[in-house]
Amino acid sequence: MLSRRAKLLYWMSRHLERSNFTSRLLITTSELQLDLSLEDEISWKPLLTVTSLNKDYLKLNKKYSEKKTIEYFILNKSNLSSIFNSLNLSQQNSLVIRDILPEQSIIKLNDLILKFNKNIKTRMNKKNYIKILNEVIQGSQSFMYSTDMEMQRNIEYQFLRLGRFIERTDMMIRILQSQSLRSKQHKKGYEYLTLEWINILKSISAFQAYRQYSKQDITVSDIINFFLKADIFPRSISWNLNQIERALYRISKKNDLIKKIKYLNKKVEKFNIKNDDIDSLLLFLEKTLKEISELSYNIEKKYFSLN
Amino acid sequence: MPKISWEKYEAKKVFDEYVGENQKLRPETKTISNFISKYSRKKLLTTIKNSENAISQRGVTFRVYSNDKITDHYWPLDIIPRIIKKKDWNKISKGLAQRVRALNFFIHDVYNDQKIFKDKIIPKNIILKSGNFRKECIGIKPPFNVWANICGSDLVRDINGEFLVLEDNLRVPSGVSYMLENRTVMKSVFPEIFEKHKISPVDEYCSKLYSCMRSLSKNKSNPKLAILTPGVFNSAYFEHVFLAQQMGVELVEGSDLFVEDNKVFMKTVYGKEQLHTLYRRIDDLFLDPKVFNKSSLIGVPGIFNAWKKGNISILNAPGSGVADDKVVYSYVPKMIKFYLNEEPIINQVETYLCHEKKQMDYVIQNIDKLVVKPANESGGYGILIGPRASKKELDECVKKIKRNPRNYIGQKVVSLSTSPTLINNELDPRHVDLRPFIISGSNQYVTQGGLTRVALKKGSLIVNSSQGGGSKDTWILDN
Repeated sequence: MLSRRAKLLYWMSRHLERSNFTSRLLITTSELQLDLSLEDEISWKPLLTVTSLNKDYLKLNKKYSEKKTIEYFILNKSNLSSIFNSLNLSQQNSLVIRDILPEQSIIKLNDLILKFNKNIKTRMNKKNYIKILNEVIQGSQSFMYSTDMEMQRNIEYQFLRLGRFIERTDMMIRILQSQSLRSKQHKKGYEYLTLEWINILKSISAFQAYRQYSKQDITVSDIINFFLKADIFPRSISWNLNQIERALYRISKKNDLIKKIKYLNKKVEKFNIKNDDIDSLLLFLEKTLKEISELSYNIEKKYFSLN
Repeated sequence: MPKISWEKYEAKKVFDEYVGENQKLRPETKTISNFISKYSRKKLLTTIKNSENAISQRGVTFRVYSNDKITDHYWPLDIIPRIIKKKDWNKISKGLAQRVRALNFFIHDVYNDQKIFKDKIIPKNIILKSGNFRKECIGIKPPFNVWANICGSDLVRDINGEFLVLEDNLRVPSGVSYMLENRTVMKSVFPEIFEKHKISPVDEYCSKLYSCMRSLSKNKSNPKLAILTPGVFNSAYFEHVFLAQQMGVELVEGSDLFVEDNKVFMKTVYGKEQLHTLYRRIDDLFLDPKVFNKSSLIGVPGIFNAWKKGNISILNAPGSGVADDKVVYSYVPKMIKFYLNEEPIINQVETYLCHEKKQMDYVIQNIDKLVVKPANESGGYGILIGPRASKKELDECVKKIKRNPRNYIGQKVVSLSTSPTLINNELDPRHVDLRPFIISGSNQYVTQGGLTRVALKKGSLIVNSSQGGGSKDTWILDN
């Protein structure tokens, strides 16, 4: 497979996954605010902080508001991670490499982007944006399902998966960071802290899975452990790291990156949050995110440098 | 809502693909005509919408450059198919194969023995002066002595309904992907007709092209094949991707390839990998900056020598454009006789060569009645249609001819046939042409029908999509 095209495929997959998880982040925050009547700053600032967009957002807006933040994440063209940009970058890459992708997957992707572009022109208001975000999630999942059903398990498929799971790990860490930061903003003894974490579970469709996985009383630490270590749950950090390891192995059995990912996964397994210690969690998440970013850099260097 | 009506449809003065004398439907068109006339207007509008949705979902686009602006358009497909009888098509198909066989003999002869010049069938200086002649190709013998592996010939139908060849595109002919996409869309909007009638399939094209590419490779056990594209900004990029997808071969840009020891390699995630056959979709002048255009950034330095040494096969071979010249076109009937000792099965449009004094005088004197074309242009650019040009345009054209007679030809105006086309949801006649595709290697293959292009402006003869043309699916119908 050509280095240049492997890179395009890998990033197409990352951009699409980013649009999916940005949608989840927004829905999570919006529902949390709705359920617990949180102030705008408590709800939305953590989300901007963990995506490193706080400064840029404040250049354009004087204060935190649901409407402005949502628009910033969905539509803003200067926000490179906005859903608009993620979807369009994904489509641009797919145009170049559409010969690699199954016909049905291309149709699903085009359909998603056509609908999204139409929706943001005609339906972009508070009443509808959750619907628009849900359509992004459904559309990107429909694309993924189609690639899973139709693509051969060749090297192209592995790069597609590699992009997907690296981005998913990155975004899952950011979701955890965002809620951790939010938790820190509350006063000691805040009664709804566990409820907020349960909300995070629900908004990424993980509550049922969590209940099946954990047989203990619900605590913040237990939920965090589930997000980090539930190796049978397809959005946990551990499960995603396993998928990255598998894709790297299928690309090349002799692969120095596999050692690194194994080591990282062990660190996740060993990490234990005690007494809902959010500071230690934030530190751990920051380190893990840095290592994921290094891994991504090394993948680019190893496979795409002939480009 | 009123139904669509054939009674209002009126074709005048030219051959119409659907109705003959006294406005009677031709027998081969009755099936679709009856079918459509039963459609309510609402159903028709839904069908049009479905076809447009299918095209946008499938991402079937083409790109137009104008005034330094790039715009992507969805492919315009008119849902009323063009219909040709199988019996008629069989003859055309044989004629096209014959024509391309002769053209390949000619190209090989030009770069090798030059018998056709020695026997004074074609003046040597005309060919050597052609902008598409590549002296670097002299002495080269590609596999099977075939240079133009893919040809797209443009056919028109005169007032009597006779198919005539208008031109042969032997450099990088495009349009085949749209022919195939049109069929996919039509099958989705009219499944009932495809179930009940014998419409010749067109899907074979990509497997035939793949076999041809494979047969040209020196490596028989595990050949590496690729399509070379100038990149995503090229107007035909959709087609390049489409072909790579359908054949499962790599789609490469010049920067993905390099040459080492006269062998061409791809830059892959595992390192370098040798390439054996390349279907190039860039003009040969841009193929190798070491040999042709030195400023080319889209080519592969050294690829020409790799080809010359036989380490890679290139379709179409560099230099094959020498026969893609409207002056050379006028000699094709003579070539068929000379190389094949056969009579041409399909005729072509009568052509006047401006480099011959008498013929140039005739063209200048009758310029308002003729079509004047530059010898080496494509895409419909630079064409003057005498009867529709202004006095100023005619005068300018005469000046151009006098300045460079070799670069111009004149042709009698062939009033392209018309075919019913949905314009504002009503049937109206529009002029059409037809581009079938011919693959040549160890064997030959001619598509069943081809891409029917339609001039959407009333009375216009310009069918190119870049200039407001649309398209139709072409049905070869076996009664």
